Amino acid sequence: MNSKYFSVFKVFSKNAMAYRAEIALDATFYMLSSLVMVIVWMAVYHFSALTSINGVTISSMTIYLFVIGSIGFLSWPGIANALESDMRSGEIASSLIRPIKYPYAIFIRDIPENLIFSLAGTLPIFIIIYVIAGLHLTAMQVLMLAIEMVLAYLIINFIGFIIGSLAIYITDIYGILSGITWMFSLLGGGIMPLLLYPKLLYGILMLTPFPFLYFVPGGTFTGMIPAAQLPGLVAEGAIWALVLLGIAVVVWKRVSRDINAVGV
Amino acid sequence: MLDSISRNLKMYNASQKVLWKDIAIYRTQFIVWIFVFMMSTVASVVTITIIYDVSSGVAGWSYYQVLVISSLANIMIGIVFYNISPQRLARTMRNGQLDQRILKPYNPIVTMLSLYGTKTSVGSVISGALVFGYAAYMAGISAIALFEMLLIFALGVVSLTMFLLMITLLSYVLFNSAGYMQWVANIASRAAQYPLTIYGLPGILLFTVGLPIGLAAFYPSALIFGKIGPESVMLVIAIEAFMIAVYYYACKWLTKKYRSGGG
Repeated sequence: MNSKYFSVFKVFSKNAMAYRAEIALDATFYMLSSLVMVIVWMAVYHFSALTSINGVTISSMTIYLFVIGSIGFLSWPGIANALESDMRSGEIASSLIRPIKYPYAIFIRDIPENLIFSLAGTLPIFIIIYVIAGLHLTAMQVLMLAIEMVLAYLIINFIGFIIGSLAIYITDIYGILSGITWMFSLLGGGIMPLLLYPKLLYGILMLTPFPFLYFVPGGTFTGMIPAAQLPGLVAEGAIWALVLLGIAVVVWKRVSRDINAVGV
Repeated sequence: MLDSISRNLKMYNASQKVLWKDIAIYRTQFIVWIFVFMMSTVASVVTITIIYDVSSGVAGWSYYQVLVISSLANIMIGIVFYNISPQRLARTMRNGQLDQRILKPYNPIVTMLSLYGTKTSVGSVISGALVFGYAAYMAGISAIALFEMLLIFALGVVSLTMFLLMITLLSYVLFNSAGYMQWVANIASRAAQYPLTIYGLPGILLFTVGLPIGLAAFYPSALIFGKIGPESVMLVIAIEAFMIAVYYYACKWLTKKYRSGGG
């Protein structure tokens, strides 16, 4: 990594470490939120005397809900907030004349916080669930899961970058971001596995980028998605990431011209 | 006493007028936020619909009955957030701005409730009311039953509002931080969407007297669907009135203990 970008990474890693108690608290609340839905679904399975609903057993449902809770940090594009903040404060103008490319720098600023959350929050929860539930993932599944998590990060943050760039025109993007994250949760399996949705809707949603945030990682971990389908899904996720990257580049080129023109 | 209530109500109304005028300037943002708050209702409806589509649902409760609970919960949380946002209040306490607002002869609690809410949460109230109207019609709820549950619902909303204010103040007094109370409120609103019976006896007790989310959603629904008798209703109303009084005096005490971050 280029030393100047590494320097940015080091500075923001230190900043992120200062909030480790907050990260632990966030992870706890994500889990508590999942616990509510676990109780609801346990009551549903129990009352209906069902062992499986559309191929989803009570144990895989429980694991799924905790897993998507533990990757909840991926559901919010921090990059969008950073972009909006820089645009509002005018910081972006000075950032553009620094000897680093602003779009790269903003990603490098965001990565440490997510990395720390992944290592201090998600990973221990994954290990605990793995041990308690007695899961057996192959090396290939673990590798696919890791790639899916990276893809999920890229997809949500490329979208975040596109929306964040629009802050130059609409100033406050927080509402739009919140709406989009709700949409991702609803259409991506953030509420329940997509397997429970009507088959036609499930088929359509699997062609969109939405499931890569929740259903694909959650389905891989629980085994709801057969191992044979994982390489294809990863390839699809990579294509979505590239498409969104392309859109982000085009949007940034357009927006950066306006930043100069406006002189923010 | 009456003078004091009248004065505080006037101040509350005047604050709302100013805040709504402010919102009118940023109409587009406001409309976006209304839709964001409506999304939580949409998510609840989707979840409940799928649950009843793929299973027999929740013991003792039909689809429309659960929709009634869920929509009441959305209306409740919309009203509560309209009056108090733990994040906003904590930020105001930390930067010292609250000190300038707590001025006699106005009641500090009314001041906090009038200024530090999330006005866009009316989206949750509107969408909740729409779903409630539909579900109540489909469940065949009579106008008399609706009227009967109004008191228990209103007291439940007030007790939850006072509770949230109390724990926000308590957390700030103890830890100089209270933003995470927003998380507590969000999780509570999620739990309130379903019949309390699914959480078992510990859950019923917790969500009735510990974290009182069931008072404004579950018990009014249980009343209109005939799942609790008149004695239970009276008991719930007594609990609500008692809790409002306790939370109110706790808030007053905590307000005296509060020290600002000093800006």
